[in-house]
Amino acid sequence: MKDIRYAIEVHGLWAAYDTHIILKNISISLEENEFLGIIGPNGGGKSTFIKAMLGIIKPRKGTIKILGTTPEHARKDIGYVPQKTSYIQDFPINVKDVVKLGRYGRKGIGKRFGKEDDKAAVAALEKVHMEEYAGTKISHLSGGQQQRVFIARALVNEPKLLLLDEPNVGVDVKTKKEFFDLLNALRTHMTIVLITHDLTAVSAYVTKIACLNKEMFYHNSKEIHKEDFENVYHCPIKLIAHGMPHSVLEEH
Amino acid sequence: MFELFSYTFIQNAFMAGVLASVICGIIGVFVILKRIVFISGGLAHFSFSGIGFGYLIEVNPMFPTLVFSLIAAVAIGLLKKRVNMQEDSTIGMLWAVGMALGILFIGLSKGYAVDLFSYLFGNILAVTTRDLTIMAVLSALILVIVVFLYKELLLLTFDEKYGEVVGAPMDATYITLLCLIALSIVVMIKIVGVILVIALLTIPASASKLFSDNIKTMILVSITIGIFSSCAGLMISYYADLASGATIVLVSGLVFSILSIARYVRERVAEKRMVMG
Repeated sequence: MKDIRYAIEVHGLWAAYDTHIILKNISISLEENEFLGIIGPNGGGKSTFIKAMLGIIKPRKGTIKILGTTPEHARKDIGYVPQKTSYIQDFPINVKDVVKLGRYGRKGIGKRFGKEDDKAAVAALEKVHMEEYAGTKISHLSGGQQQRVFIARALVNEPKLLLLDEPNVGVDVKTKKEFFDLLNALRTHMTIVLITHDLTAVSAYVTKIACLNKEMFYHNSKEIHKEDFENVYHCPIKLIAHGMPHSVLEEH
Repeated sequence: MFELFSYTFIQNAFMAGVLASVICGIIGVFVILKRIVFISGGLAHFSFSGIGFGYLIEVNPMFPTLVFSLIAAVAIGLLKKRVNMQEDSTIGMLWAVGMALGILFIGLSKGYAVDLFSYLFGNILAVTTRDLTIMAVLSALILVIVVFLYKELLLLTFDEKYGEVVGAPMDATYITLLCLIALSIVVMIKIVGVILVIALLTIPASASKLFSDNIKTMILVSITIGIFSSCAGLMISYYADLASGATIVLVSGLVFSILSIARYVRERVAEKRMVMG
């Protein structure tokens, strides 16, 4: 039998803030080098799930194994792309310095970034085709370009697992396609988890889909059942998109 | 025309202005970038209670002010996460309660004709050599901490949530920053007064932000603007016989206005070039 390696193994996970239950009995196993899309409404616990995988919040019940170990130990091998921060505005920092912040875990307090951090930052920018902007102020870039920089920041430690929390996928078809082409290229050597409340952001590229609204609906496939959608969104399925029962937004 | 430098108190005044500019240039940059101007304002006004307490127990007001401000800074930092309360209402209460305590303590003290005006609006000409020594020590401390925690401060101001994910101690860094602000306030009270401290923390850094591409430049430019403003403000104050705190702040306000216009013009010119070319 082939030895299956899991990037994520979650069993019976419960999470809560005070007495408010956010995640209810969640179990999911994801093999390495898969591309998982997690969809669900706002307030459905998507960000909490990511925080649990990063070990920032502790589960009330259940176990989480990331890359075969605890979230805290795995953290150095996880690349994290946060929700778009809106207050970048005029912040005086250039692209390369943003990417270098991803190397924080290797340094810790009191140590300065050095030449090898510079090299790693440039290499990460090359992966997302943004190296020519290394010296540009981040606020001078478009939203899509900023997103690429944040992906580069996540890639700068050569992670084995990439977590994207509601990334700004882009508004137009071309930016969206470039974004997913980039993730698809990365998938050859890392596992990717993309979280979004925007159904149209889950493209034909994902290999697995899960729905999350307190509970997780996951069938180890990229098929989504009509009942799952109705459970998750509490609304008739025809409001969401066309041709739903078989797959999400794949061309018919 | 420079006969004014023959007076020791004038020399002290210029030294104090330079030290304050260095402190404001560094700390003000993080205040602006983290958007905590009003927390700083709350701290500045709360420190008034320390001044009052100093008069009450008849010690140099700088010491109780230091203690009171640091307690307030740590309290704000701890309350941020643990208590479900709007941050702006916390600041408002701190502001009012601090002033009220200050007035109360001074009313209770036995001294007469307390020079409160100099603490509210500043009197840079009253700075003693001992004050200068305390200021120099505090400036050095601030400098060392900022250099040591540079990465953490950058993460805190640029993207705090990401900082938590990569394992940086964001809460501790935030409390440290608030304490640095409190220290800076104590250092600056004598120079421009409680009310105008906020101006010195915000104006040079805001002006510097208009033209800076990275934090180090922003800090250096901010210090330069501060030094220019305090020196020019002092000269004007001396020759025109005006309140020094007011002239220093007004000069830096003027510098900010000129630089804003310069940036606006520069951007319009750049836009035109893009359209033409």
